Amino acid sequence: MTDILRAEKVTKRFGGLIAVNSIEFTIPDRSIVSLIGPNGAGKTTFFNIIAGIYDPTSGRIEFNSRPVIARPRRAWLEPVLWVLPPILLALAFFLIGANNTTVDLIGIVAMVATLVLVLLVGIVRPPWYERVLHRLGIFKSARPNDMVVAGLGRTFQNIRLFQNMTALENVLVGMHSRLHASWIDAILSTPRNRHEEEAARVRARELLALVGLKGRDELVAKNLPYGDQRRLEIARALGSNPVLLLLDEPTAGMNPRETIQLTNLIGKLRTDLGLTILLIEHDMRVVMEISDRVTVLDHGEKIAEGTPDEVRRNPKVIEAYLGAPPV
Amino acid sequence: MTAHASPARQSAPLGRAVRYIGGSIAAIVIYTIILWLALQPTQGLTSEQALPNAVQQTVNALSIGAIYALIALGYTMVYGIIELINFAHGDIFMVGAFVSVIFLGGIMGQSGAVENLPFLALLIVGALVFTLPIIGIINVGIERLVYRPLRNAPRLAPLITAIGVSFILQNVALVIAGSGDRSSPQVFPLGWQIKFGGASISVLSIFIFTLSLTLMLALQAFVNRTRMGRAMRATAQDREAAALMGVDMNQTIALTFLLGGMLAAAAGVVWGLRFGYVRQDLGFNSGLKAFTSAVLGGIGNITGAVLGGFIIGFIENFASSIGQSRWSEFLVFMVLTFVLIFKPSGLFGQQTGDRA
Amino acid sequence: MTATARPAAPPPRRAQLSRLRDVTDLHRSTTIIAVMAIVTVGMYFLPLFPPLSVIQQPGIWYDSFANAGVFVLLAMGLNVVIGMAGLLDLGYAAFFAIGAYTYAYSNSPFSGINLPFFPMLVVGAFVAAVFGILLGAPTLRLRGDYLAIMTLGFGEIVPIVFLNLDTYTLGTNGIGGLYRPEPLPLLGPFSAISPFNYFIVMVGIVTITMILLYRLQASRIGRAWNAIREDELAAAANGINTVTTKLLAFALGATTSGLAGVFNASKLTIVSPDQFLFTVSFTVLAMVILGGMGNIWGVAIGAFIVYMIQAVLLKNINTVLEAIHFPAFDLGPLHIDLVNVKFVEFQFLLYGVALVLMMLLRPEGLFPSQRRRQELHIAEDYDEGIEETTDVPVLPPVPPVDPSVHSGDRT
Repeated sequence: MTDILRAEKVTKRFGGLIAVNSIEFTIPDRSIVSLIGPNGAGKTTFFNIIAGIYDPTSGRIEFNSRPVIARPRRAWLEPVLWVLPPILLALAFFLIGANNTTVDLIGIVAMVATLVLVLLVGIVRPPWYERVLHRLGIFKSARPNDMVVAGLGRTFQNIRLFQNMTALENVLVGMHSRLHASWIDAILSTPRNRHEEEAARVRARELLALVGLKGRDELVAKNLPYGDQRRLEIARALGSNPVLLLLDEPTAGMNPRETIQLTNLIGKLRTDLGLTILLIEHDMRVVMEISDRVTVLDHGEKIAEGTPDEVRRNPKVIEAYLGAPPV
Repeated sequence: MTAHASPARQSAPLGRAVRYIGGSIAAIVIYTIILWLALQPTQGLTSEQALPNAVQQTVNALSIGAIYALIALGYTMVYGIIELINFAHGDIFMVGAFVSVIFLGGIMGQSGAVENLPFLALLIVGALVFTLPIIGIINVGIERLVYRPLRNAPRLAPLITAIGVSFILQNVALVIAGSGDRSSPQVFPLGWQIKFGGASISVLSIFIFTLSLTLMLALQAFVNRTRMGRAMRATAQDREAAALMGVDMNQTIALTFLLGGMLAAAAGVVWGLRFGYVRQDLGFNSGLKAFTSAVLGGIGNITGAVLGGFIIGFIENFASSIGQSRWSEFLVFMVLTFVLIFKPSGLFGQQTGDRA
Repeated sequence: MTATARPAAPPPRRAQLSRLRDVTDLHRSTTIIAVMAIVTVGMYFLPLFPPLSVIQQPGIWYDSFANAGVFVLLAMGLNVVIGMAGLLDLGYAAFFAIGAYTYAYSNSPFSGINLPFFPMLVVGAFVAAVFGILLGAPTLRLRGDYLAIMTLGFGEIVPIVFLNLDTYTLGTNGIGGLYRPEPLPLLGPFSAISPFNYFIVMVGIVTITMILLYRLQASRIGRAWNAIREDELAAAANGINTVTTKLLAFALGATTSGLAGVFNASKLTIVSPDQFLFTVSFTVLAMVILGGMGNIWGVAIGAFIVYMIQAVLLKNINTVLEAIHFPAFDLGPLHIDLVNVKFVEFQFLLYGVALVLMMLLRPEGLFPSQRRRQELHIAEDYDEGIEETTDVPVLPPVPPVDPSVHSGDRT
């Protein structure tokens, strides 16, 4: 069984504080892995590194066998690369030195045009540009939206829905990276745009039905009950057709019945949709019930890993949560 | 807001002061040399003629830098404490200049310089004592009326409101004083110069520099040594925690606006003495440069604002010395662009954390 | 690398039109055209009769409408940047200037060429968009406050550059003698004395722009802008490339400014740096805020009203007051004679006061979108004692969550 994600010696320091210390971590394909540990253990930090929000101080992460996340190298070189062509052009015109107004004007226009082209290349990042960067040893760690395009979806610990958008719109935003109509298609209202929007809405409704929010499309997100908001966030994350889903405390604040429903949903995501799931959880019942494997962090380090039963009996884990037994 | 550089560099205060002073003197000397070299080709001066010019301009730069630093302090303190770019701050400076002009004009009419030193001193002190509290109170009033209700609103709201306030201030001044320059009695004799090997150094510039430095040191002492100053620093670092510790949020923020306003007012008084005129768009132009200074030094950082003010002052002085004063705003904007692109936290600021 | 195929979504079913709440594009576009047609007819006939015909000549009314249209375009463009994407652009007049000078370089004795007007509209829009990209690229990674300052600076230096490079731009005097657009079929030539052509062309431009902007708002990109405005981190975490999306907002917002610039230049037949100072940026900002950020119609109406107040009401109010013999009165010690007060000088003071009052009392504007009213009044809930969630490490601040539900321990 291949690993969908592989983290090697990932470390993150914030100034003097080491939040995550040299963690080795793999997630096998189609498994459900839980990440647990006491407060301040570094779980969400690690999550955020995988999701592309933080760059690691050292170490690397491979997703689908591609290295996507590591400490940026020579990031400063890229802006230099952009500014170079216009400056060279300016120099060239200066040396030609004709005092002709037309030549001057052409020079200025050429410089501006070059600058704009260079910037556009830097923004659009075509493959040949990436190859040039690679040759120069420039490495930029994946940003959150890059990870989504690569197949990652995530939810947040403190629900971050788009509060003033409807449930349907939230899911549609989740599908952003899988829709391909451009703004030109939009303003011209091309058939391609219309069909894609139609299909998108159909699919969005399916996802809402999948998480149990059928028929709630037009409700504004902030008016949904708490449990529904959590489920909506999952529907939104599913919009990008991820292969790996990161769920940050999905059952926090839920009553036992809702918790069971959500646990079942997570299981369904794996069996029906073939997703791999990484979970941060505090509710041990959920962890024990659903995880194939549990990893325990404390003070930024991995202190235990194994099946739920193995971890439950591990003395180091017990000590981390409950403290050392009284003498 | 922070008054020191990052905690990783904690050297003895004395050592740090020595380094600051030494570094400043070195920077000033280097600037003078650069000017001396630049003046020759651009102004067609010989090497002997250029030197006294360079020295005089350096002194000018110090005084203009001091003015920007005073204004920048207000920007940086307010931003540090409530994360608001107070667009109206530059216009507070302008109002201060106006009030000072009214005071001096009222007492002295349009008469010229006052040679009598004790009387001059009395006049200047009088102008300061008159102007500073008034402007300080106006600033506090604005905060209370306009910014406080929006303290929890999304970021855009107070920002836009500040712009509105800026326009209100400018146009009130316009309506009251009419458009065009309004001249100020130049009570400080411009003829007082110190001759220094061929160069005539304006005593006024030295006075401005000294006065500003004193005010800045006083602010530094206040922020670092007093209870209220500590409250200000705490609020700037973590508003909620400070509130939980019993710091009165409203009072602290009001105090910040009071101090910032008074410093801007001092800059206004000094401006009137130095340049002899006030105009209602004074605040807008100088405000932008002063804000750039604050950003350059690291917004929220007091030492940074001072340093930034002087750097911007020097840049502007350089541009006008070589006869390109019409490009000075452009240069300042370029500086701002480069700083924000390559080091958005400024010279002394903290890292703003990783990207979204 | 694309995600490996999971059970694919079922093939798209036929559009279930009955379940769509969103108005279809056809419906919306026809509504816009219909409304604009009615408005245009109204704008044509009303000035022919009292009371409008008494205040100023019909020809001058059409001229005012055409000028108002310029600001409507500007406001709609700024609305894309501020209202839809949530980016505070304080230097919007810069793009206006760029559009205008583009026209000047293509249609003046100074440059010696004379290009047709309607294509120049497109060219001007394009050039402005290019500069939108130039401005946006280095600045869009900055936080909102810094972005505001950068755009302010840009808005400041563009007129300065035009002023200082006087070999190319003729400095303060500006480039004059610009050629008017080619005569229209059926309607004849464009002229200063008979501005009807300008009025009609402006109506056309505004209508088309509105249709296109509404399409944008309802599209994937419009949703992305909304998402970024609400919660940038969550937007990025859902696959939105915030940099390119914001850049698109800047660029597309600038295009209407370019359009307005070309039109305005061809109407005034002169461009000079002092037409593009911060007061213009501020006025357009005030229009967007007053009209209702995010609401395309609202902003258009707001811009129209504000312009009309400034250009017509304030200018003529003295005559009107005098005509109706409005009495002078005493307010305490002050003797106030409104007939002689020069309201025109006060206009920016009024804008400033209006802006401040708006932000304090009704930040969603006069014609808000429902969505925006909900967003902006979140703040009021805070003051009633509901606590904010505190930030933990260096993640950007998190929007509020209903605190009556315990959200569990933090990591």
